[in-house]
Amino acid sequence: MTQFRLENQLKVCMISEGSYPVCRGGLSEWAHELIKQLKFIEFDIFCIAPPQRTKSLYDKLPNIKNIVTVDVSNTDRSRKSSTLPKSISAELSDCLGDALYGRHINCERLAEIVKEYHIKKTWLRSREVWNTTVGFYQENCPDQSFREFFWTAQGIYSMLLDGLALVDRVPVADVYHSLTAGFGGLIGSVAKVLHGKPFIISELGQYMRERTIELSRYKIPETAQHQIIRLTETMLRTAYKYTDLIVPVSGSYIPPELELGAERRKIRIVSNGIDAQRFVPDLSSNGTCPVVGCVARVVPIKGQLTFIKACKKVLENYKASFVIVGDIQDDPAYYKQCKALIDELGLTEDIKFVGYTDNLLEWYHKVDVFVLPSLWEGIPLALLEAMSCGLPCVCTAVGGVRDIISDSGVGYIVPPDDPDSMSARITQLLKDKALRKEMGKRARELIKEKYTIEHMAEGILRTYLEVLSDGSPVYIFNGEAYSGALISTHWALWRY
Amino acid sequence: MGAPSTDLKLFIERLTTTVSKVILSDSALFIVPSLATTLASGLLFWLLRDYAASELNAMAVVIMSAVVLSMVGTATFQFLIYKKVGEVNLSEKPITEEKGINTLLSLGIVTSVVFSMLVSGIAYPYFKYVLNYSLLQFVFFGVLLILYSVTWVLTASFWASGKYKYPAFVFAFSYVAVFVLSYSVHQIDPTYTLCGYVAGIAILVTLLTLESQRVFGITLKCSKLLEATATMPKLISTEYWGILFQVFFIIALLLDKVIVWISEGERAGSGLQILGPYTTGAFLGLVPTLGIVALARFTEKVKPLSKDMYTGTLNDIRRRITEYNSLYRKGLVTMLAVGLVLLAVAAVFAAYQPRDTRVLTIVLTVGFGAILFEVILYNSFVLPIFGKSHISTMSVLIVCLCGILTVPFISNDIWFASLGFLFGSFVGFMISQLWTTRLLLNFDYNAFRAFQMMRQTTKSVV
Repeated sequence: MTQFRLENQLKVCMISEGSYPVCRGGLSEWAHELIKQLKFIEFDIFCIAPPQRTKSLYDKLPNIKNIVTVDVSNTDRSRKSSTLPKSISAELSDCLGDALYGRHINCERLAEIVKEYHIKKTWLRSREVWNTTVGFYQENCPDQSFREFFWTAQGIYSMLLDGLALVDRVPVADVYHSLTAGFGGLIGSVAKVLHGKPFIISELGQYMRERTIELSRYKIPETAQHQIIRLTETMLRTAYKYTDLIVPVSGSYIPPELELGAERRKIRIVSNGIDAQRFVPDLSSNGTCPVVGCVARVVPIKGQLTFIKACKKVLENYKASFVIVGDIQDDPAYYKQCKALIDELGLTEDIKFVGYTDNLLEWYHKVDVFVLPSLWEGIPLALLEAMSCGLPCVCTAVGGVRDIISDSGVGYIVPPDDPDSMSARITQLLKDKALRKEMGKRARELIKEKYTIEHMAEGILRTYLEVLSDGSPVYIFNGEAYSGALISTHWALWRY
Repeated sequence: MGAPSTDLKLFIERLTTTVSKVILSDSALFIVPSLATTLASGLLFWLLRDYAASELNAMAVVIMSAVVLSMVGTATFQFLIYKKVGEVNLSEKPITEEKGINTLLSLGIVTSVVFSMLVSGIAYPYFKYVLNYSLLQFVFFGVLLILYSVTWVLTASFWASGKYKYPAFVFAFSYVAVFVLSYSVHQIDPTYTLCGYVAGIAILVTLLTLESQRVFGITLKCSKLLEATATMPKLISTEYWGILFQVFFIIALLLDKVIVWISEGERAGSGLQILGPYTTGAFLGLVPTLGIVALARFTEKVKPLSKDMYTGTLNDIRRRITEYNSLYRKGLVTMLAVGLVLLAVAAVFAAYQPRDTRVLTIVLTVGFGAILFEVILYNSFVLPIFGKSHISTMSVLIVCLCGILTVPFISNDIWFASLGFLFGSFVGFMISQLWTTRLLLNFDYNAFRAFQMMRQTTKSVV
């Protein structure tokens, strides 16, 4: 049996892309809870933040050493000419040019270049970048508007360059852990090669699917859309190639990961988890009018428009009130659209927007039926929290939600974007109090059995230790890590 | 041996066709104002040659000081108006609907008047104590300074909008009036010759103003002008290379003459000595610059190309680029050919009329310099496409510097002033031409590179 003790404090650099700690939401909550649980590990947070949103929204936990927040729009703007030698410039251009083709990027070469040279934004104006861009254009899309293509390609190069500029600022750590496979995954890949340290990727959402949905909301020319999808593909392919482990929250993520070049042997599923001691059912009786609640940020991917339409149909048969709990500032245009639909359907008195709240528990306790109308989800924390509070659920059949709800008797799944089915299931639950109670009870039990924060933290810790060891399974005993043999341990032993 | 001569014949035929097209085109009218000014002034001074030399020189000093100072003083507005009106003209929007243009033009006129009054105030002691001129002569200078300043501002707006006919007609008519009035007044009382001159220029300004009012709509509303003034620092900060080019261009063109006037004036004890072989030779030497008509023709021809230069596929863009390059080459060759022919004419004239070999030497030196100098101007219309306006500015600055470097040698021989101009023009020409050729060779890459730079600069400013 190989036994090893971690001689120094284990240091993990968590790479977050537009989430923890500068934005709220499921992913940020997940990261915060994980760090809280793994209190014996030191974390550095490297956060790629949206412009002007670099302020931390979370209290700094004691085991977080540094929070490096970088704004991608604020990297090198020098107008001095680039001093890269021609051959290196051509190599770099070819390397990054793979993004135009949707191929993975050669991070080994990239890391070597980043180590030796400071690549300024002026490099984008180099002959080499022009040659690569024109070469790709003539080979693949010579009939499209060149100007449009050129600026898209420039945008892609620029974004990758922003990423490279950030790599220098990623702190040195024992393990790199990116919360997403996209931009964070790319930076993590280069950091891994640069520092020779292991790198893991958590996948709480499906990056490609989310980007595609996001893109469809904007009026972007087709050429640009196509290229942005290719860039995303490149980032994912690169991240999957260089990462040591891919950690999705649900088995439903695996097929698209494999499609983008991930190796099956690298995948470890670690489901989301919540604090079951905190999210407990409210045993006191609610008022006479039942409440249906949706807890999610008010953004298109969460599907609140479908929920509002379903509410209208429910009210045709049953008297109930409705609440939408979640940040309304993420996408003001979508929030306006929801408000307009509520006005149009005459539901102003029936549906209430709560906005962001620190006290979610209070709202779970006010609710009788939990609804999740999302167009896409991984393993949503809100669903787990609602289940932990003993709520029956009506959710769309997407991502990991299907795995939790199907055949478990904790609620119903309905097709996404289908207000009729959704309203039918909500009405069914509203009408049958006994069924609600029964489903809620089963939901609570399921959470305690499979989806606690402890389960999740242990799963992630295992991945850290696995990549630090020789690849053999790792077990933890009394704060020490063991590898190479099957030793049954108890979670509490290392936790306390 | 047959082939080269056939090629040469073909080349000459083609050149002759192009040159005749240029001369017969609307853009040929671009040079009428310069031609009218030169002819009328030349003829006037020639007819008045029997008048007392010091008095005639004083008259020339008053006129030339007003011309030089007004040109330099209004360079900024000349450029800004040229640029802004040119942009509107290229977009093919109706100029009258572009409110910014009339405000800019009005501000240009007001600033010119204020500037002229200020300069006059500053120049008064020089006129009184150094040149020993009378108050009347100083008043003529002040009025002419105002009138010329307004003239340059208004003319820039007409030229930028491609309206060559009206200024051509007005200049021709007014300078005939200048000539007739000055000569007539001189016959009555030579002291008041300048009165006739001023009256003629006043006609010019009045006619230009009336037409500007109709075409651009001049406004004198205080609030509008203040609003426009507030935007000037930003406008100037983004266009500083172009403005500097305009300033140095005018200085470079006149510097050798001014240096000689001062130097000869000191020698003669008259402060400024304008009339003399150098002035005759130097102005005759500038005749080849009339070849600049090819530039007007070139800008007119590339206008439709420039408008849609970067739309469509890369092949479309490259096709337009090839056409642009061909027009550029044709324009350049035509300009050089016209310049050389005009130089030959000027040289022949200089050889027969003043019968002074010194004048002929100066004509040839300045003439060759002028041909090279006009290439710098020609290229200054191409280089901004690539974000390289500073190359043109540097090129004309070199001409200025070479002019200044000749100062110590002028006392030995005034010819050195023209040599400085020729040398400076040659160096400036080399820089400008090498850059332009290099950039045109990779037009697409260099143009998109310039876009990138502009975008980055705009982002940084934001």
